Amino acid sequence: MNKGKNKLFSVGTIVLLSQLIIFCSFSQTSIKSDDDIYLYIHVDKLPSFPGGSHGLKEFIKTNLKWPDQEIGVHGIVLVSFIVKKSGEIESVIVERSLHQIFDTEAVNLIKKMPKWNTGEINMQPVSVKLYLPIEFIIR
Amino acid sequence: MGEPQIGSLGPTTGEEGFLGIMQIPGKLSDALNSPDDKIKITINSGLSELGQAQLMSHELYGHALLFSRGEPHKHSVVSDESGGFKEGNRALSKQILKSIAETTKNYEQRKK
Repeated sequence: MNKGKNKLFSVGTIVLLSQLIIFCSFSQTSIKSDDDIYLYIHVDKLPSFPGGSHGLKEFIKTNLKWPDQEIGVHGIVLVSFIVKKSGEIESVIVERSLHQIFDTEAVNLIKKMPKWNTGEINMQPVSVKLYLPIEFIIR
Repeated sequence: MGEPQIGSLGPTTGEEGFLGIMQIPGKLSDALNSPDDKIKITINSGLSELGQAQLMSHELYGHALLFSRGEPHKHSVVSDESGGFKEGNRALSKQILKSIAETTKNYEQRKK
């Protein structure tokens, strides 16, 4: 009896899993509305910081400050954010925390950024989610 | 030991986060002020053994040593040309790098 129940459960699980996979596949391919946000790996052209990677480096150099000289913290804050179709930044999230004060500094840096050049799919501007590691390491 | 090599002032183990802090006598903020006339050093116990040893030498033979000599003992972190950070307090930087290198050498020798 138990074996039968287990077998039934296994079959049910497989059916449920396959439905979930099919649902996920549909939900990935059916995203076409104006509000869609694409992960950076799914776009034809990545959003870019004005001035390219050199401009981004200069911006970080000018605006990122060591937030507290006294606290012994060392490492990387990983932040994600969305570059909207307008080039504006929204939804800045700390994906990997280092320390509260340093996380806040990293988020503030991203929020201070000027408009980005937008990402594109089929030459149409789209909103794109990007990840940026902010390094707090003294060398 | 010779001149310290250029490198990170943190542990060589790759560990990240809050690493350690030195509290000194005086009238500083709660986090930095020692409750008595002693220097107190706190190291993150979640670090590896080598990480803890290196941080101890960073705090003790870097910050605390310079403090006890009456020399500038605080970090003075400034942006460098590459967009990263460098230590503006050269004496502290030199002392920490030297201490971490020596601690690492001692640790490895004891492990043999």
